[in-house]
Amino acid sequence: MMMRRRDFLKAGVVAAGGIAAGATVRPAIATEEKGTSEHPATLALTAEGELVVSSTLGRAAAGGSPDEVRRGVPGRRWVMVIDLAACDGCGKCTDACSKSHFVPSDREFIRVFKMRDSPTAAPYWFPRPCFHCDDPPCTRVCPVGATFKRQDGIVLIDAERCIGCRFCMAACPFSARVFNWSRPENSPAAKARGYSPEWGYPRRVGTAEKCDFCADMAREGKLPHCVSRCSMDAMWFGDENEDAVTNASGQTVRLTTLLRDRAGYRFLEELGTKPRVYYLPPDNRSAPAPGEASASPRAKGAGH
Amino acid sequence: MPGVIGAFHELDAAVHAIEELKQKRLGEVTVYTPTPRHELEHAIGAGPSPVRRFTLIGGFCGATFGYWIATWISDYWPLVVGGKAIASWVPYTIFGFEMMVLIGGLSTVVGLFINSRVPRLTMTVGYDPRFSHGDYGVWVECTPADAVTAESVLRESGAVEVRSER
Amino acid sequence: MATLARPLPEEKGKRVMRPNIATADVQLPAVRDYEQVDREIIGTLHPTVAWFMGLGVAIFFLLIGIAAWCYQIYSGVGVAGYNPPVMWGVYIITFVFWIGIGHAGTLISAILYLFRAGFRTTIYRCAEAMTVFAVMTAGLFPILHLGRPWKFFYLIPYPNWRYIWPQFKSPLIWDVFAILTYLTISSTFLYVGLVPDIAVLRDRETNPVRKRMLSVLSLGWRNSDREWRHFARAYLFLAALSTPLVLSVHSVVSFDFAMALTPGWHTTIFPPYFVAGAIFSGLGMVFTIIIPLRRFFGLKHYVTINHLDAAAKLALFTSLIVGCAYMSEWFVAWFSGSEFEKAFFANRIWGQWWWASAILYTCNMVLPLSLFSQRLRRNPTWLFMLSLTINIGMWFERFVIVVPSLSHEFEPWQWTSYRPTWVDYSILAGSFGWFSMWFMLFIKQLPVIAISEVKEIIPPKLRRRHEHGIDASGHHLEFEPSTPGEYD
Repeated sequence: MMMRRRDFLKAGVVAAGGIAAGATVRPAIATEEKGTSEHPATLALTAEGELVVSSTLGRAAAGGSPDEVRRGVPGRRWVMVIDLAACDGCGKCTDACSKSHFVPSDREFIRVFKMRDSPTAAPYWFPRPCFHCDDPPCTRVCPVGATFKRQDGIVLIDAERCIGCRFCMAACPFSARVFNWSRPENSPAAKARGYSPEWGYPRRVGTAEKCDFCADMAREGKLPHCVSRCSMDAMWFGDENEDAVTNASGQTVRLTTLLRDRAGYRFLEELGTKPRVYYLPPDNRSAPAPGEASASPRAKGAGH
Repeated sequence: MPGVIGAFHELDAAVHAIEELKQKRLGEVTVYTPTPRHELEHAIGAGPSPVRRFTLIGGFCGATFGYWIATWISDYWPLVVGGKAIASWVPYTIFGFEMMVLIGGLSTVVGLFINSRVPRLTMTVGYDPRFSHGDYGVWVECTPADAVTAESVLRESGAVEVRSER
Repeated sequence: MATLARPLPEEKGKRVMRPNIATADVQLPAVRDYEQVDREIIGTLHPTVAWFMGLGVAIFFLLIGIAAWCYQIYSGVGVAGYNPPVMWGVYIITFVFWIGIGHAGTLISAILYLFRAGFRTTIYRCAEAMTVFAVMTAGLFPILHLGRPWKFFYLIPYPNWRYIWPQFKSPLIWDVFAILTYLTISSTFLYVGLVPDIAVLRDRETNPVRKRMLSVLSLGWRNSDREWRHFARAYLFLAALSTPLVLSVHSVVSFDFAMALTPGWHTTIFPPYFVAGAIFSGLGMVFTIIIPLRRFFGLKHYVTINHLDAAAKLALFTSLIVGCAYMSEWFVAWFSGSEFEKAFFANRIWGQWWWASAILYTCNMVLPLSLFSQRLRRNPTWLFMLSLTINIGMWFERFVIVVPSLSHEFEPWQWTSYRPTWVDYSILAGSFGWFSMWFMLFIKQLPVIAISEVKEIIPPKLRRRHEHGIDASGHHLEFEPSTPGEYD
C-alpha cells in the first residue's frame, strides 16, 4: 500500500497524540530510557468520522507507520561491526547502498577511505557509514526535530520536516550527512515507493540525508544492503540486546565476544558521541592492504 | 475642563509660576515643556511613576511563559534528542529570559501609554505647538471665578502670553 | 568627574594635551537655544539630489541581491559556494556580521544611558536606527541560508495541525527567540524615544497631509509633565531590559558554534568574545555612518570631535578585548593538547587561511591600537578610514570562525576549501543595499539626532541673564564656547 501525503500527515497527527498520551513519565535521559514498554495503541479518525483504536494505523507495505518510524523496532538495538582486517576496499558496499537508495552519483552514504594512523603504520581501508551515535550531536541541534534518535538506536531524517539549515551537517564530526544541493531527479522506481524516513527517497531539494542503517530492511529482519553485499565478510550487523551480529555469509557470532577478542573500538570515541558502529583493528589482515592489491577506483585516498 | 494657560520663555519664570499657583491652591497644575527638566519636576512634585509595576509584572509573566511554552511543547510532542531530557530546564532558561525581556519590555510600553494617557486622538485644550519648540506652558485647572487670580499670577511670574480656555 | 572642555593655553613647540571628555558631560557650546535645535535638525529632513542618488544605489544593490536569491531558490542552495563539509558559508558569516553591527546601537542607546555617559546623546538615535535595520538585515540570512526557505515558519512555535513544533534544545531555536525579541525590543525602544521628536516634527510641519501622519505617529504627545515623568521611567526600564538582552543575543548566536564539537568552535570563550566583537564592529559601523552624516547634514556642532573621541575610546577598549580573545586562542590551541585543535589552528594561522587571519589581526587588533593617540582619535578622516577597515576585519573575523573550522575538521578526508560564488557575493551586496535603503529612508523622514534629548543638555533660557550655563541644581556651569574640537 502506498501512503498518500494526506494520509501520512493525518497519521502523524494521530501519532503525535498517541505519544503525548503516553508521555506521562519523563525520563532524565531520553535516548536511553524512553521505555520500549511505552507503545500505546493509536487513536485514529476514520474517513466516516469515527474514532477507532488501532495499533497498525497507516502501516505501509514495508516500513512502519509514522509513529513506528519515529519509535523504531521495539526491543532492538541495532549495531554494526566493521572488520578493518577483512576490508579490501572494493567499494561493493557503497555500490549496493547507492543502488538500493537511488543515491545520486555526486554523493555516497558509506564512503571507503584509505587510512593510515601514523607514518610508520600500514595503511588500511576504512568504510564509514553513519555511526548512529547514542549521543548524536546532529539530532540535538536540529531546530525542527526533523532528525531523531529511535529506540532501536537508528538516527533518521524526516525530509518532510527538514528545512535545510545544515546545522546537523555542521555538528556531525564525521561528515556523515549529505545534502540535496539542487533539484534531485527521482527515478520512477523511487517515486513509486513513496516517502518514508526509513528509506529516505524520493528526495527533496534542500534537505539533508545520510545512511539510514537500512531501517526498512532491519524491520523485516534482513541485513542492510552494504552488509549483505560485502564479499569479504568484513561487515557484521545485528542486535545489541540479542548480543548477536551476522555477516553476509550468514555466520552469527556473539557481539561481546567479537569485540573482546578482536579489541573492537569506536571511531573518535573521545568525542563522546557513543557511535553504534564498532571497528575491529586491521591486524592479522585477511584481505590485501591498500597498495598490495588493485584498489577500487571508488575508494578515496587519504588527504585528497 | 476650564482653566488658564500661560506661556513662558524662561525656565525660572515657569518654575516660579508653578510654585505660586500651588501656594494659591487654585487647581491641578500641568506644565508643558520641550524637554524634561528637573526644576519643573521638583516644582510639580509628583510621586514616582507606576510604570515600574507594569515592568515587573510583565517580566514575571514573560519568564513564566517562556519556560512554560518550551516545557509544554516538549512534553506535547516529545522529540527525542541524544542525551537531553525531554523537558530540560537549563537550555529553556534562554526562553524564560528572552520572553521576560520581550513581555517585560512591551508591558513597560503599555504602562507608559496607560499612565500618560496616550495615544490620545485630540489635542487637549491649552496645548500650543510652541511648547514643543522652546517655550514652557503652565496650565492650571480652575473655575472661571478663579481665572482672574490665576491669570494675574501667571502674568506676574513673567508669562509672555496668558489665555483663559474653557 | 565633570571634566569639561577647557583648553589649556597653547604653548609654542609643546604638545597640547586636550581634556578628557569621554566620561561625563559633553557640552554643545555652538547650540544656543531650543529653537536652534529644532531649526537645524528639522532642516536636515529635506530630500536632496545626492540623497536620491544614494537611495537609488542602495535599491540597485538590493535588486541584485533579490535577483540572486530568486535564482538560488529556483536552482537550490547549491549555487552558493558550499563545499562539504563547509556547510556554512557567506550567509552565516554575514548573519553574524549584521547581528554584531546591531549591538553597538543598543550599547550606545541603552548601556551608555544606564552609565550616564553624556557623549551618547547626539549619536544614539543614529546608532539605534542602525540597530533596527541591521537586525532586520541579519534576520534574513538564516532564511536565505535554508535549503527550503519556504518552510522557515517551521521554526516558529504556533499551534498547527501538522504537529510541527520546534525542537527547543536546538541553538537555532534559541536564535529565533533571541533575534525576534531583539528586533521587537530595539524597534520599540527606538519608537518610544522617537515619540517626543515626532511631536516636534508635527508641531513644526506645515504640509497638512504630513502633519496628519505625524500626528498619528506621535500618539498625541503633548510634552506634559505627566507624560515626561512616565516616559523617563519607561525609557529607563527599557534600557535596563535591553542591556542584558543585547548581551544575551550575541551569546546565543555564539552558542550556534560553541554547541558543536568542531575544533575551534567547541570553546567556552565564545560568548564574551562574540559580544565584544559585536560591539567593536558596531562601533566601526557607527563611525562609518556618522562621520559622513555630520558632514553632509552640517551637524558638526552636534556630533563634535569630543563625541567622536569618546566613542573612539570605547572602540579601542572593545578592540583590546577582542585582541585578548585572539591571543587566548593561541594559548588554548597550545595548552589544550588536543591534536585536532592544534592542527586546525596551525592551518588557520599559517596554512590555508593565513590571509584571512592576517586581515583579521591587522584590522581588528593592530590598526585600532592607533586610537591610543589622541591626535588620531580626534581626526575624523582617520576614524572613518579605520572604521572601514574595522568593518572589513570584523566580517573576516566571522569568516575565520566559520570557514577554517569546517574546512579542517578531524580527519584528513574531511579537509576541503571554500570559495564563494557570485550568488554569495550578490546576496552580500544585496544585504548592504537593503540596510542602506532603510537607513536612507530613515534619515530623511525622522530626525537623526534626538531633538528633545539635545535640548536637555543645552542651557535653558532664564529670566535672569546668566553669562554661563546652569545645571539642574542651579549651579553655574563654566564652559568655554571656543573649546577646541567643538566646531571642527
